[in-house]
Amino acid sequence: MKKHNIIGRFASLILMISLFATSCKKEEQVVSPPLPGNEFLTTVKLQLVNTTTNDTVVAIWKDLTPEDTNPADTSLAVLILKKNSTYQATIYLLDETKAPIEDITEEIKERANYHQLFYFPSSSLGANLALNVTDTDTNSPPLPLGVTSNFITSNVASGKLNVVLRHQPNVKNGTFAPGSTDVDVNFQVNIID
Amino acid sequence: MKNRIQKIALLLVFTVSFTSLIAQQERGKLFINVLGGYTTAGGNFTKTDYADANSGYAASGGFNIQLHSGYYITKNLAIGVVVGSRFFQSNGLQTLSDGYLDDFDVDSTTVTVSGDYINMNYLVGPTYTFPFGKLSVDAHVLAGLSTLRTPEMRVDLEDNTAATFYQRASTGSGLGIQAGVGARYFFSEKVGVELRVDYLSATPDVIIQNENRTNAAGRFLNNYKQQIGGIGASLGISLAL
Repeated sequence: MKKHNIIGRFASLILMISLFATSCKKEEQVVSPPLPGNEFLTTVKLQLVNTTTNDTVVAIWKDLTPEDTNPADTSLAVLILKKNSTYQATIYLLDETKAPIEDITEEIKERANYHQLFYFPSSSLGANLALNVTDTDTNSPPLPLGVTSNFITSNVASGKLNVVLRHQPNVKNGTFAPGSTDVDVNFQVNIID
Repeated sequence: MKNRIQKIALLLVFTVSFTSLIAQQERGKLFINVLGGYTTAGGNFTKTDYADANSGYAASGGFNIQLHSGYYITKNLAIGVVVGSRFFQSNGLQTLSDGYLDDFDVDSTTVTVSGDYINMNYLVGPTYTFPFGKLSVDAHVLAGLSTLRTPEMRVDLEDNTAATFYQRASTGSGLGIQAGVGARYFFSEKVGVELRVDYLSATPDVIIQNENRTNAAGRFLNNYKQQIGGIGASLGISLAL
């Protein structure tokens, strides 16, 4: 009888230690604030190479004072493309407030898994400008990045091309909606004869 | 913390009442030691280098409780079992949070850790006793199952709740080997105190459960297998039955 009593108490002790071990619950929290000296995206450069003629077309959108309300310099933000042509396009994102100028494009490529560039031709361009993104990230399955793409023109038309860089940390899924916008700029596009 | 103190107090009360009852019973070849104390860990388990996947982010010091019971098969040699727990808080979480901040290029990150690293040990092995009157010195070697339960980690990226991801509390097991020496002093025929030092070696293999890792970015662990052992010093009650 005594032995049964001892075994029972021994088992109770083991049970108690196990319960104690698994029931401890506490919470600790740390926060990392924004890093000082963030870079700016002051300049968006589109460089297009005609796959037939090798002609190069460059358009530049620039805002060297991004913290004020002055309008951006769009005098060079114009793409003049030939109809019925295919162009290999590359976008460059620069911080021209730094010396030397910082190429943010490489950083975007390194952080491709949560960035995506979107291209929206205006309705006046309609189907006369088709775009296919040609690069992808290393997510599984891979998702588009948009640093390189093909621009395919058909008939004469004019309109705007809206270029948006979305920052989608841990929410990138190939769609526009999740995340926030890092860059949102417009280029004038003229498709000529 | 208050909850833990209450549990320790409860455990002590239970142990003392258990002891007083046992002390009245006849002596046998059985011994039961209930111990608690400080324990250490080292190596990668306590590293806080964000870039190193082996970093365990555990504190280098924690506490342990263990129950060691054995039965003497000869005058000096006993075969015993240990059921023990070691507890370690998290450490260096700021480097973890800063690492995610940089890796996801966000304005702020918050890392929230729930629970401790809990190492449970279920070991069997011999104890050899050198008696010196009321004092006895024990040496023991035990081996068996060692488990590790990692705490839950939640990472918030800015205030976008859709981006929040988790490293869920996960448990794995492996071989554990413990060796140590202890000194027991008996106040009476059956009841005494024990002071002991143990070294534990254990490398449990933990499959880490992750949740809502939408993109391949930032520190990501799906497995953790590192040495979690260390030295522990314990004090407790010893019963000879």
